[in-house]
Order: sequence, then C-alpha cells, then structure tokens
Amino acid sequence: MVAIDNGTAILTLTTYTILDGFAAPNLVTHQSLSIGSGQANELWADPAALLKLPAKLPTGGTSKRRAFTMPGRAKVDAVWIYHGNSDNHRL
Amino acid sequence: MRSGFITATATTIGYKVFDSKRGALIHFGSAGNSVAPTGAPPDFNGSGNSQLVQSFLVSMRNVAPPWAKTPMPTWWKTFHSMTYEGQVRVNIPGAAAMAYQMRSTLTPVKRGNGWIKLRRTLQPGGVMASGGPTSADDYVGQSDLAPIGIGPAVLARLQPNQVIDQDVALKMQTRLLGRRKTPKGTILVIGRSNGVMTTECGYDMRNGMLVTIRLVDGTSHTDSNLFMTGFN
Repeated sequence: MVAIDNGTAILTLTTYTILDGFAAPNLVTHQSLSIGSGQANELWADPAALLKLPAKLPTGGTSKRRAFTMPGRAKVDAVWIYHGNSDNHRL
Repeated sequence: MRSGFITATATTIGYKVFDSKRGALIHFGSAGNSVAPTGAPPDFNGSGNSQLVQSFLVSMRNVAPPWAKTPMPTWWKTFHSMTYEGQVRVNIPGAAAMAYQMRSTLTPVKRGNGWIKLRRTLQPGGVMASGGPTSADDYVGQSDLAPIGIGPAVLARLQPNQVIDQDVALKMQTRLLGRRKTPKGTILVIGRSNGVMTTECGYDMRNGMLVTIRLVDGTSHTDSNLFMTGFN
C-alpha cells in the first residue's frame, strides 16, 4: 500500500501539452510530482473531505462525484473538481 | 490544434479528478489562452497562446531516500526566506541563443510535521523582466528527492555515486555526484537525470542547506544555474 498521506510517495503523471503559436505543435512531457505532506495539496486530498465537498465550492469552482476510467484500466469512483468557467469545458 | 476547446477570451479553465478512496490525483486537464497582442491583425498567426493540457496518473510508489526519517537541519523550522539568483540560458536549435537573470525566493507560508508549504516567487530579469514576477505555492517534505535541506550528519554518510532512487516510469536516476569545493565551502551535489531533464542540487556540508541549483531541461532547451544569495 502506497502511503500517500505521509509525504513519502511519488506520483508520476504523463502530461500532454499542446501549444499553438509555437513552431512545434506538440510537446509531450513526463513529470514526477512528489507529495510533501499529508495536507490537501495539488496531488492528494483527504478522501473523507473529498466526499463532503459541496457541489458549489466556496472558491468559485464546482465539484461532482463521477466515475473515471483511466486509459487501459478499470473504472474508479472519483471526485471531479472544476475551476474557472466549467460551462465551457470541452476537454 | 484549436478544435476541442474554446479560445474566445483570455482565461484558463480546468479540472482535477481525485480517486475517492485513496485521495490521489489521477487526472487533470486545463485549457487556457491569452488574447492577441494589441494592434495585431485579425488573422495574425499565433496571436495569443493557446494551451491544452491533459495529464494521467502513470504510477504511484513510496520513496525512501537516506534522509527520509532522519532529523532535519535545525533551521528547517525557523527560516523566513531563501533567495537564489543566477542565469537562465535558452538555446533553441535554429534560433539565436539568449540568456536572462533569474531570482527565486522561497517563503514558508505554512509548516507541519516534516513538511512546509512554500511560496516560490520567480522574478526574471533582462529581456524577460517585462513579464514581472510569478508566484506559486507547493509543498516540500522531508522525503523529497531534492529537498531544500538535508541533515549534515546524513550528508556526511553518503557515498560517491551512491544511487538514492531509481524511477522506472521516468527512467530517472537520483544519485550522489560527489563533493565540490566552492569559495563558500564544500558542497555535496545530488543529481537527478533521465537524459532529457537533469537537476543538480548542491548542499552545504556544514548546515545542510540547498545552496546551488542547476536545471537542464532538454524539452524547453534551457539551462538554469542558481546560487543562494540570501537566507534569513
């Protein structure tokens, strides 16, 4: 079991960045982001707190509980957090 | 590659998806763009920069560097800021090489047991100065592979070429590169590299402070060299 809430875990994410206005149409980067603590941060959130999030967040965003299927993997129960103008999402 | 996201205004939208059982970030995405430069014609090629980002969790594992469960340096709990200054060189093939000054300031905004929430402020100079400073918060911890400090007793025990971590997914190896003498004393350099990105962190053997940072990024064709110029 990876102990992601005690600051000893590394999450590796593959990030695909596409830019226009650049000569190269695609930049594909891999990044490894380590967790520094058990506090809620960009890479980890307290599961108990996640499940209690209101649909409309005090920070202006929204949250929704919805399954997510990782590419090539099984579906997992997940919490989505939207920032900015969520009406415009077409990602 | 404009199709798929809206580029009407200068804005950034995004989302994050967390695994509800483990709490891990498993996916995030964002789309952002800036408006065209003032006075640019409507069909100006490349007007504004649009960016689409999608990220997926690849792997998750524990790390255990030799300093993970050892006492942190005494200054870890009390310092107010760390300042680094140096130069960033950009050498994109086919384009003229350029360089600009960079100042980076780390300021703790919250502390916990074995972790610090840091505000990193980057202030570029020279030709990049007009962009002004940018700040972002992130967490640093006792188990980081490139921490801001390592206990001097642990530094003294590390062996030349000692492999500290091997990341299979990134093909990234972290190892001790060796000791180097500088005008300000001996530093111990720990490097991380996968052939595309290389980071070298130099630690003062006396107090364990991160005093030099070199980052060579083959993707952005940048070579950054920063040295500690302030601590309080």
